[in-house]
Amino acid sequence: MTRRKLAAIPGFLLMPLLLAAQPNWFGYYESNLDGFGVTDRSFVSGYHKLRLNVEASPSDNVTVGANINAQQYFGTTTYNLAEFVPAAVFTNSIGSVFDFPLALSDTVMLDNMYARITIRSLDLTLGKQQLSFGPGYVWNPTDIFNFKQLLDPTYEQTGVSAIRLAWQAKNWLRIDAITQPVDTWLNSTKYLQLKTNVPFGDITLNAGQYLWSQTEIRPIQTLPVMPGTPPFIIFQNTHRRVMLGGSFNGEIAGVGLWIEGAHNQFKAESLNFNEIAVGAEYTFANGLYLMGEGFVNTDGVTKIDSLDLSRFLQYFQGQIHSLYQHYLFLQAAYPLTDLLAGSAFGYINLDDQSWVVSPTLSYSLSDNVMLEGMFSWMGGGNDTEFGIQKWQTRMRVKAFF
Amino acid sequence: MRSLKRFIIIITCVLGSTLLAQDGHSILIKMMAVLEPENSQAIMTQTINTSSGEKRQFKYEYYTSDKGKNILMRYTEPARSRGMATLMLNNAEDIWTYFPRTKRVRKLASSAKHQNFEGSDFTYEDMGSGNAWKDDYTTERLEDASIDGQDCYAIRLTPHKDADVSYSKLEITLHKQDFSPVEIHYFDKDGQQTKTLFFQDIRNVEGIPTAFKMVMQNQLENTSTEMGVEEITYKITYPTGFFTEQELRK
Repeated sequence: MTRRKLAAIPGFLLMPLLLAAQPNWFGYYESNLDGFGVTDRSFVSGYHKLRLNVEASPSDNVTVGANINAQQYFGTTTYNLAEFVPAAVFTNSIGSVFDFPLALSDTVMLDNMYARITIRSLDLTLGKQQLSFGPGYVWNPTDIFNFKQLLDPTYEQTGVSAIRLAWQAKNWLRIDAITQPVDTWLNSTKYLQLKTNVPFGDITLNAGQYLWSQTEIRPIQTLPVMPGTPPFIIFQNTHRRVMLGGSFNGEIAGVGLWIEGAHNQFKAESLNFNEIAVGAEYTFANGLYLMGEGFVNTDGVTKIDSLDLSRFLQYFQGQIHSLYQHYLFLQAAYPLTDLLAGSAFGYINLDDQSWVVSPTLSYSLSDNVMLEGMFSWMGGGNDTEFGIQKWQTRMRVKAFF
Repeated sequence: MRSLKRFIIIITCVLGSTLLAQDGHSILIKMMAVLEPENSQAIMTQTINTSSGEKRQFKYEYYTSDKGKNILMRYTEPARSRGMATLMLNNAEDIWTYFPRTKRVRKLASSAKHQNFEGSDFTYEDMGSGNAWKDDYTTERLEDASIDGQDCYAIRLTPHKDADVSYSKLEITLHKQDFSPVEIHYFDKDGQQTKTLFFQDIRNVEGIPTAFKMVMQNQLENTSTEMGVEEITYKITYPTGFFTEQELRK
């Protein structure tokens, strides 16, 4: 029996339980149209997506849920990575620019599938579930399970197959213990969060240990390469990573503040790195909302000369939080009318001086239908992270049911 | 002897009326007992009438304990807001929101306390800080009023200098018979009346007069928000830890 068939078994077992317990069906439909331009080309692409959730409570203290994502792409569905990565990065890694196709294919995916058992102040959740940690808006050093999209940091995260024990030990103390089992206990992900609330904010202590898989790309230098074949090999490298971190989310003089940091430790000391995100927000009496968040990742590079293709692949695959070391995010939002909200956000890569500015309009067509339009300008030059892409537009309609 | 008798009668009347008279603070305390009972559990509806003529409708579960000091609200409708929840502790001094899409809990800064709740004409402060009125405001009694033929008390609440509140004063009228509020007028820092909350369809629920319809009219924005009670009970006790992040996430 294949692994895929084996993985489907819990779903078949769970489904009769869901259907027998008067389930609630809900979800959303989303259509997304993107246009974007790189150095000398522009593309149109998009997707239609249906997310169907089902949730039921077969008894007072048990909740069973699942959701399915069906996503169909249109427009450009195959990209050449070489058009989105500065040429210098290819030169640094494999000597020259090489076509590197990446294809998007239609998917139907069981995103989450879980059972939650509540015993007094203890919740035990088994199965594929969304896990999110840290108060950071864009960057979460203490979250080892998720990596956010820069242009859409509040988009839902993919489920993680795990066992989670959440215990509200006291009104002021919450403990989350998670394991993501793999082949052995040693290799399984272990994660612990202690959270307490003091009068001026929430404080967490976080610890995690897991096998960090990193995509690596290396040039083939010793063997003769056949014409037309890539002059490199791609492989996965794993490191046992220990993350020790913490966060604060509170306020001083009416200004919302958060700090989230983590030290990441490896067997080889040279791999150790630290990440910290610091943010502030304020809402004025007229409804204007301002937010800023800074991020430092000592694992990142500071110059393009040090940036290689492996790091780009790791970034695209969500294995690392950033390419460079220092970033700044700024956001302003204002309700223009009852139904129309305007906002703008921007990123600055403080190392290569590239930037993105994205004004956005959101309109509530009805209680359950949202329209969103965004235009992003990028700048900084072809040899920079954001500047290699010139512009991007996004139109999105989302209907909840 | 006759003048002594008259003196005693006058003194008795003055003392008696003083003892029986309700001062502003005691009226407020009695009104709060009606407005914020020890515990409650309700299913509420909320209809926002926007200035553009559109209606937005919500439905939510509403739980309170400790005379409204702790509040948990969880939206069940519309589908777009389903699962979004807000926890307010210490009379809305501490506010957390839960976003089901990202499964994240965020603590709101106090600057957000004065903002409209889910686009309605109620602020977080209006929703959650009622019982803090007796600490944040000085109360004075105004001339009695009559609304719809019913005798009413009238009181004015003026905030203490250091109170973190949005209003320069509140003027409240309430029924003399059962201390249930009839109208609350809100005045901004410039002294201008901005909003009025009307309590309507008052029914007796488990011995407590309960407004099944509350309408907040926003005079500045020309909008209004109507809250309706679908189900309510005051005979509820909550397990320890109910008003915590654990419940917020469910």
